[in-house]
Amino acid sequence: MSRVIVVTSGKGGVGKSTCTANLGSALVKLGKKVALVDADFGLRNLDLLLGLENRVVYTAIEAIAGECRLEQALVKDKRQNGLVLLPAAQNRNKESVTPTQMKQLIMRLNKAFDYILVDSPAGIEMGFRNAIAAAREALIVTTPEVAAVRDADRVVGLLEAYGIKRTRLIVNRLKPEMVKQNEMMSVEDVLEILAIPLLGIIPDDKQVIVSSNRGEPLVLGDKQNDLPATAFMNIARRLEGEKVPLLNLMANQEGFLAKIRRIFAS
Amino acid sequence: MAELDDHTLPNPDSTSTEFSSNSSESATPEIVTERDDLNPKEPEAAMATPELQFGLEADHLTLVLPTTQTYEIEAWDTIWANFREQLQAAADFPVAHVHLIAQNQLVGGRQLQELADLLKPHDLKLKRIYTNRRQTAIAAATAGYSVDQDPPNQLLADVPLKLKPLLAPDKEPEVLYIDQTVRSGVEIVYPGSVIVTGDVNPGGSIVADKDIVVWGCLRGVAHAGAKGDRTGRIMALQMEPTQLRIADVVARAAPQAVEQRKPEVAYLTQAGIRLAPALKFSKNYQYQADQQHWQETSDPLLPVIS
Repeated sequence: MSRVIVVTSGKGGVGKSTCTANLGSALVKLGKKVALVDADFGLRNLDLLLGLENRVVYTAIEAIAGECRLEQALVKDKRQNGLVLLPAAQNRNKESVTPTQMKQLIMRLNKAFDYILVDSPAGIEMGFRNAIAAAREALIVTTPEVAAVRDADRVVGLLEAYGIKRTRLIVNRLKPEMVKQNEMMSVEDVLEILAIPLLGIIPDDKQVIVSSNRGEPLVLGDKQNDLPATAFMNIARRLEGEKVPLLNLMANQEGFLAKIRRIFAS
Repeated sequence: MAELDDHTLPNPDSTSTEFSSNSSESATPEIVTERDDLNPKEPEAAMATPELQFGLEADHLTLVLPTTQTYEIEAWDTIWANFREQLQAAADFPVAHVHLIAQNQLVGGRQLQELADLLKPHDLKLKRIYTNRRQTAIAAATAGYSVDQDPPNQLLADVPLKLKPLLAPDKEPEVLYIDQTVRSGVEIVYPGSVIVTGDVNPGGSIVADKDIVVWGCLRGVAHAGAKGDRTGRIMALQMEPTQLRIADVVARAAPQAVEQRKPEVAYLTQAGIRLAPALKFSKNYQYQADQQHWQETSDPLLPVIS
């Protein structure tokens, strides 16, 4: 039985697709078989982030319509053994698929994979409902900003209403030095409103943008030991049930002088 | 809402100084009026035909008749008619026996038979009669029921407290109890009071016809007295609302440092919605019905300046 997890947020641009791609890759690195499903019909991104854009032949639409076999639509990642992508159609929109169709499609992947991560589009309309149709767990991605947290709160309420009770939080693009100067919400502030279990924190990092543009998930590249890559690996391990302590995100923010100051101050 | 009065709520501290100067002159007469108001209400209630109170205990249904001080039952027809409707409106009863607490009403053999007939279609049997009138006890014993005859001065004042009244489905309970956080986008509308054990997140809203109690942090919108009831209060452990509304008045909260937050009550004054510390409110504030707003009464320990 696969774990079907929807990655959603409400607000757009907070890092759902990035998290889906990187988390999927991290899980594969732990030895799991992972299927990534892009539910953002019309504005698909997951294939770009994985660097699989030019290998997409069939999409989920053709698989649902029966114009191709499901295996033909799944794109295998040659760099990561065990990772497949079911791409969305770029020439349609979110009204092209119904929740029932999505659920049936994902159920066909059920036994073959350990994890099925569904990348939800932004919003709470049909696209969102399609994405959560087959899911039993949810990951809410938010940035530590008031607007994003507000939307995430709405989505948590909707997920509860749709019967998905196992929801966990990923706080993305945290800037620890801004939190310290009280210019940004802290993770505690976010949890104060959302009140769901925290799965992990991803710091804001230039490396994430670089890897997205290259189409190379963080855990694959030569920066695997960097902070964001480690953060994703930790999240993958926590999904597997391991107790992993949160990273010290301040560690590489401080310069040498700041470290000296800290030693003398304590 | 007729007209919206947009007010910024001042800090609670400034509120209390505002009102102590007003109320000290007229405090004493007002308090006396309030107490007198309590008694006149009783005879009014006695005029209307009361309904039979009934409540479900573990193994029997208890019926309570009003005492003769409240209402002397002479015409039983309306009583039975009301009771028949209540029985029909309630669902199936999981018990078989009925105890009748007649108090000091005069219940004859014929009334007992009529009651038994009413209960029969619901598979209920009258079993025991509690009364303190000798005639009622004799009638009950003759009819074959167990009788408990209490001495006359022991009216069962505590019985109604033990009863959880079964309400007919069209009569909604007065309070809605929400045992979770109200999230953004959720709107609760209720013709009564609302209690939330949890937070009300920004974007969430509660619209109640009476009071609102948030046992947590109120960060969203709360509208008490939604149908125009100006006695409506909004109470929260932490008041950080987006907007507060009582009847047709709207207010924003003044931005306040988070550390100072204590449980507060929002209520309507002549000048609009104000906040008072919760512990202070119930003891020191009373609703002035003629002026249609709450007012702080003076400290009873302070000497009245006559």
